[in-house]
Amino acid sequence: MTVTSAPLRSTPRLNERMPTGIEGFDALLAGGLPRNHTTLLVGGPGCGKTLFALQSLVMGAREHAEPGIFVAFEESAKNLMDNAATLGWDLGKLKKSLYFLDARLPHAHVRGGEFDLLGLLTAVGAKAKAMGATRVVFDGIDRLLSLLADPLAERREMGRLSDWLSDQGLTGIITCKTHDGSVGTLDRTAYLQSLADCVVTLQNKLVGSRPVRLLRITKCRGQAHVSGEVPFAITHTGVKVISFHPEKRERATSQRVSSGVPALDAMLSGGHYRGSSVLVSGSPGTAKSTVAGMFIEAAARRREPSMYVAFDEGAGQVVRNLAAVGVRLAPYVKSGVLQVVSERKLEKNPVEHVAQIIELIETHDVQCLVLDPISALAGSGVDAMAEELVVRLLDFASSRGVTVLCTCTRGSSLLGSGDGLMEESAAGVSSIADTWIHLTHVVQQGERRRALTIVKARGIGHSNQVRELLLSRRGVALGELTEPFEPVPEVAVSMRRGRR
Amino acid sequence: MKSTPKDTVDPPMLKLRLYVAGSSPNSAMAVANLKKLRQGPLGERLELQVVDVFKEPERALTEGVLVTPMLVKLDPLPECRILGNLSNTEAVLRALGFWEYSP
Repeated sequence: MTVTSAPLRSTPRLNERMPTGIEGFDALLAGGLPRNHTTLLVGGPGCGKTLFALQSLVMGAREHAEPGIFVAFEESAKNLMDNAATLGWDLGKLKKSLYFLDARLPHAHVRGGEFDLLGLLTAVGAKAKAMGATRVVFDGIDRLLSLLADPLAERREMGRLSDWLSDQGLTGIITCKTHDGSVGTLDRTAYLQSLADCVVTLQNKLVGSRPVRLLRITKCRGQAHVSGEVPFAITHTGVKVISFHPEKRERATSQRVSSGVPALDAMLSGGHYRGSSVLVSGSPGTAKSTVAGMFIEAAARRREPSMYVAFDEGAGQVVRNLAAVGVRLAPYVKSGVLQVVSERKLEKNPVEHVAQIIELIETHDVQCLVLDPISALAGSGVDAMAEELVVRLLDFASSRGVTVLCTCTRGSSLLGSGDGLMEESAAGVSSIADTWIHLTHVVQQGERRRALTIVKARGIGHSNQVRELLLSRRGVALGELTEPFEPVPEVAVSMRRGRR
Repeated sequence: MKSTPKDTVDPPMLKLRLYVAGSSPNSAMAVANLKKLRQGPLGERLELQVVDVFKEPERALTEGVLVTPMLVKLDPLPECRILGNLSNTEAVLRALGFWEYSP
């Protein structure tokens, strides 16, 4: 006797994926949303639900040749088109593959008994068939559901909607406002979540004193997924999820990149590894920015697309101040090989900074990058998040083979507890950086001098010397420190304070 | 029959359009309820058009039919949309301009 097994249902398997095209998001779900199933996006007002859904539709039409229908219960189609235009999505070009249904309910209507959604589903179904649509967004379903004014009817109709999507072979994205807790309103998110195959929760949360956007995949049937909170930002090109890129990691290279300071290259027996991350720590005034400037100037001289991101200064100031110590960036800025970008601290939250930097790295195919100072991302109560973000950013850079030099003020939480010269302080950015150069002030014969030491350099036989850092109008050079020297007393005090 | 002088002015002709989704429960009930109203208070001074969105889905799209059944009073103006199976007789009649109706 033979046993044959037949599929019980014609519904496609849950593990078939539909890429949203939202950067960093699809990787969280092993490729995208469950195809031919229902995904629910929930969140409070203004947390990015509509944009998220719209972007999935636009990217589907643009990048994957999958036409889509946007059913808008909350906003007018014109409003949505205008929003899309500000993000640089030319919907005019996608006229044949995107359809917006203005489904705002008329204000003047009378309830004359029970009703259902068959009209809407029939209309959308016919349109989907006519244009070969595979994706449908129902944006602001709470508006429609509140019209039903009956919890049982709501459940019945949502069940109908979800079954209908599967039957039609459509992938549905439904957005719904979370319950605000007000009396007399219905909390629909609970039953909607049990109905949907995949639930993504978006929120705008205060971290420290700054609002930060976070998303979480609360549920996804039949698919392993990243379940923790993941930060995202809305940049001028849309939603950007800051996630890890472990699968894209480039193979380690043994190619070297000059630090821009010949004597430092010698200490590193040839320079930094390409694609590695270099941390330059030190108190204010120890010439961290100059070391960073020399690195980027050398990169630009080699005609490698480079970027200098300044968090504390304007771009003009950076160029001027570095020119004063002989690091001339202006010609390279002019030729376009170097971007000097100012990411002022207060304008954005750290997620937005990182999203912006990632975008710039991609746009300009940056090969060498300076982040000065990376410690600016922390503070204001966002320390834990900043550290995670820096890890993600460095990970992203390394996946693209970008050599990164970041400076960090001593005492910053990003360095981990303890002081720059104490090797046991293996926490924060200092632990993930491949190379760690520490700059300090020392006293020698009653005079304050700058000193440089290499704390670590992974995979590089490096010098253990403490060298004097000489700052002149021709940039940074290294000299020999003759014994005896000792830390500057004030610095020693702040060193103790820095410890936890 | 118009026997009393009070009724010398005829009520205006009603022009209605009913959108249904085939013979699904709510839609079938709306058709039945409308038939009852026609035999009763609405009378025959009524022009009715029935649109089945299953047969004409494009019309549902262009004419903004999100829920079914839906009755639209086209004339006299203003246009009015009545959602549902029309079992709430009082609300339906009021919306159609029969203010003094009492069952």
